Amino acid sequence: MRVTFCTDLDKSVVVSNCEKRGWIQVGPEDEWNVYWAGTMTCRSLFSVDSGYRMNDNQIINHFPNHYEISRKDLLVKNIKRYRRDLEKEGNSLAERGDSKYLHLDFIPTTFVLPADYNMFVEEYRKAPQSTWIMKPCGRSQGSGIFLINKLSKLKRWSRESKTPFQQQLTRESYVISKYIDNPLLIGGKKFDLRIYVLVSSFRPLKAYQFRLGFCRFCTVKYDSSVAELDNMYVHLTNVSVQRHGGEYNSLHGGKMSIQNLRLHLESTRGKVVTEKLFDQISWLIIHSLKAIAPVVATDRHCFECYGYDIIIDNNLKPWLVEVNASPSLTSTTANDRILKHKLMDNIFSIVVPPSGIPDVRWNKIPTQQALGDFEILIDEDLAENTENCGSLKNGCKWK
Amino acid sequence: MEELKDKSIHHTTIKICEDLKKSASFISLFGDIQKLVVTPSVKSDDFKNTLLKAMQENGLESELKNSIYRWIKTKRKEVSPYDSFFRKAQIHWDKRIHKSLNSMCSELGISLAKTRGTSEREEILSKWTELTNFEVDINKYRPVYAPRDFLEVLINLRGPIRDKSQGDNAHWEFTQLPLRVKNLADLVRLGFSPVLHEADRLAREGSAMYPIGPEPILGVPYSMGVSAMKELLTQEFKNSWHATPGVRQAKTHIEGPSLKLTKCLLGINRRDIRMVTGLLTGHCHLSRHLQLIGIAEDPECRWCLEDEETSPHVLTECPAIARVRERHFGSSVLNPKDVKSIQLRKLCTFAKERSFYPELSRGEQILAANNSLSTTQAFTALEAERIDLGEKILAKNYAPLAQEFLKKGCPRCLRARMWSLLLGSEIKPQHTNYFEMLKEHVLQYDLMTDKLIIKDINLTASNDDQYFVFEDVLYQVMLCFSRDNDILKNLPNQPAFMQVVIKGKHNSVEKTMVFPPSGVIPFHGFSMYAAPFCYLFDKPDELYFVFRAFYLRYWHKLHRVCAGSQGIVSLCLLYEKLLQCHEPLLWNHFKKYHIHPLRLVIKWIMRAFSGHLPPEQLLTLWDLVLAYDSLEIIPLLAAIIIVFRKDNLLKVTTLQNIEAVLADLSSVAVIPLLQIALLKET
Ligand SMILES: Nc1ncnc2c1ncn2[C@@H]1O[C@H](COP(=O)(O)OP(=O)(O)O)[C@@H](O)[C@H]1O
Ligand SMILES: [Mg+2]
Repeated sequence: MRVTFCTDLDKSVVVSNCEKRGWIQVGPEDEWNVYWAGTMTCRSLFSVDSGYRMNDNQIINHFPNHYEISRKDLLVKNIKRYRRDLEKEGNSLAERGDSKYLHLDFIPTTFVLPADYNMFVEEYRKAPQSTWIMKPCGRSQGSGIFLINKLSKLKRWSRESKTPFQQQLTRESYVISKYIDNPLLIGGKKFDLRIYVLVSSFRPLKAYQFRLGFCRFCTVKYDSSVAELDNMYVHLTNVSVQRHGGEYNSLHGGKMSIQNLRLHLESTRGKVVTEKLFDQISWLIIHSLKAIAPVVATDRHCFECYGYDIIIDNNLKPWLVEVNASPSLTSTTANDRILKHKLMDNIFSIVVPPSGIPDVRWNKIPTQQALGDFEILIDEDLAENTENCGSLKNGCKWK
Repeated sequence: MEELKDKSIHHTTIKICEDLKKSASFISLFGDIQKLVVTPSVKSDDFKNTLLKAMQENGLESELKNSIYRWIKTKRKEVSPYDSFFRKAQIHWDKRIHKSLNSMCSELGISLAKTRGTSEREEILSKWTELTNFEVDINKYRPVYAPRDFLEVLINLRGPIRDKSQGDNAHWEFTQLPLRVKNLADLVRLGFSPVLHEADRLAREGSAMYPIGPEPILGVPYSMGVSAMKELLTQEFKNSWHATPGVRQAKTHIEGPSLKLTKCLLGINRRDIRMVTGLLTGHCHLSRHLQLIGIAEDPECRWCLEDEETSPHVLTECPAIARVRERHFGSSVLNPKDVKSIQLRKLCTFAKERSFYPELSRGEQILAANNSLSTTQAFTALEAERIDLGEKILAKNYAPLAQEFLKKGCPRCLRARMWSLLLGSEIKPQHTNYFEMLKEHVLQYDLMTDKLIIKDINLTASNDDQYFVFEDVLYQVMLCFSRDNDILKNLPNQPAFMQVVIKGKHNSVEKTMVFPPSGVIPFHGFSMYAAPFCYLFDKPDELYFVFRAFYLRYWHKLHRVCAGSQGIVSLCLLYEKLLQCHEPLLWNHFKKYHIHPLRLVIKWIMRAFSGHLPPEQLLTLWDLVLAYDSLEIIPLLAAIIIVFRKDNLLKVTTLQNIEAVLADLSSVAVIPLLQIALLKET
């Protein structure tokens, strides 16, 4: 049997990786085995009126309702619900101290606007000096984001955005999050991490973390003063924002590998704290996935690769900023291209059974070699069989 | 004989004392000793003993020992009959560089040095931590020279004529420069360097024969402190050269003080003496000894894994090296008494049989982070073990132990401290002040080399995804480096330097300065000597002193013509020899297409692989430079990489394509590569 693939992204990483495996490219109307689709295509494929039914030898790169994790408001909603549920169960994971969650405090305090406006104001009043960040729920690449440090600014913004003839068009909802104003700086600059996570199943949960990731640096020194509040080159780490700045360097694209970050941190801060940081990152990824697992329409044909945005503060605590369901596959530099090729290659190795033919009846337990640069984050099948899930990542107690 | 040696030791001691007195660290050490003297633990009626004891207790003694250890390292000097030839060549090259600097200046209509205006000063001061934003037009500047130019200089070196009768053969090709370099087998075998050990404390106890001056009333009179130190140094130094009889193993092997033995010892070279005495007395890299002084965990013999690894064991009975004994001594098992009758020469060759990069050549487990390994449990366990041991060594604060430790790989989290200890560059208040002073100089004067430095960082680190984040730190460090007159003072062969008039305020008296104060003119890629340190240190001043120590010990030898086994010429030669001997096919392939084999690697060697290897691997390589106190590992690695890419290299015939094969070193894993190559040889 010849394996066929289809893609509606014209990305060379996708095409060349599929061709390397001897797969044949076909159109969406043809018989395909692997579909690398955009989220829209995927949603319409799964919609009731499309009437499309996949057979056992077809797999596709999104879950039908991935927005449960990738929309900024839904992610927060799901995590809040997850914590509440655990708390009701009396699970020790949801323990609190000082009114904060001790183990699950990994997203900045966030409210959805306009819905939660009153709750936000109440929280705002507790610390009127702090800065907040406004982000449109459904957009990406840093667009529409701004910082506020006064309630009046928010009010003005809300008035202005409600000008009569925009009203119907742009009742866009926003999230407002506590701005992490003490980010870890290297060379004086703010950065965030892009970590890739592959999920091949939500129930049972099977997730893999890619060892190669990168830090995305701002091109301008970090400066928390009010004067720089509107300078997005200082505050937003998105490459799509930074590349428009005068200081952008296309040879390195502001990206430094996570291995090098780790080398630097271990060398300057020590092993224990660095290890703890990276363990906490894995921990927060696992719990963010567990938080959405109950609401994801699980489908054996689906797998998904997420791009996690994580900010580390200067106490070496990681914060989950957002999760992208279609992380950029565009390469900005030579190293970036190598990384994304590997990523794509390893994803296919994991989601395709050893036979080389996609098959949803497979138990989805890849061999050690197939993992490549991925590490098992959690596999509930394995965990149940061997009872040793605790040893996968030390210090994690997610059971 | 003994007397003569004592005299020379005495001489050296005086020299050490003089040098130490001049060093910056001495002031604080001396201050600390003075403080110690006024404490009750030092009694005036038994001044010397109580002082020594107190010094030992509060760690000042190890400070002193470390100073001596580092002093010996810096003074270790090889004399070669070609020294003056190389010195002349370097001076000639220095002058060419100066000329080209001067002509660049006159072309651009600028001066080499001038006083900065107030506004410019203030601008730099306010942007000190973000010098990227200090706008200077560097477009019109170009690097004074690049590795490729330096290679030309090296290739065109015309060695001295050794033998007049050879007449028409008078000119040496580069590869025929009359320098001796090691071959691979030498690299595997050479050198036991006995560790300065703790046992020597025993010896010191028995020697109270030097009179101590009048009792101190307030603090210690300078001369008296020194004489007490001097004595300590005498002992220290004495003990580092020959172990004192009375130690268990020595007694078995050496029959009392013997004139014959001394003669024999003096007949062979010093390195061999150390080796042989080490072996006879047990004070060398034997597990039992290493365990005693706290380096090794386990006295077990590394060859047979059965018995304790002691001198008698190795010399007489270890089953694993029976064949080696047979070859050297004519018998595979020896009676301990027989050892005394073995000729020294034989002992010497026997001892040479092992070691130099011994840890590498034995394929021992060395802690080296590479992707495939770093997640395994074995790695985690080994790392934990190394961290544990490393912390102990750091607590002992003893530099020679740090050097030993590095041989088997350094955990990332200890590297910065381990390097600082080894090099003596732990930061003290006077260092911070010194760094501030250098900064002040940068603020005050505008040197033409500043632009070269900025340009260099711009061309290298700023574009490199491993280093761009550290750009601003590098500006600070490199600018300060150029102002550091101590570098010029401490460089072994004084470079030719310029004396320039500072242009500036019209009415003031014309001032001159050494240009640049460090005497070092940066070449293209110079800042890469410092860049990797950014991974280890957050603070620029901490980084600075470790980098400077590295430069003074090693890096200067890589971009200046100098003789000696550590000089760039020998290193290049070593690379060529290795390649020629071990891969003649490849060698001929290069020759056939008129590609100078050195051309392919000169930038690796000149930059000690900085910017070529990924940081993790690079730091591992530099660990080894420190551990074996030798740069020879660099050409060795260069040759190995070439050899490992042989198949692909043989397929291409143009310089461009060959360079393409060698362009990406991101997959190189230093330790395994070296191990494979050196293991083959044993
Ligand atoms: N709470 C926060 N604190 C600090 N920085 C933030 C915060 N939220 C977002 N950012 C910055 O803004 C960038 C964009 O935010 P993100 O939520 O990822 O939106 P987008 O979908 O537009 O990328 C992040 O990469 C990060 O640098
Ligand atoms: Mg984002």
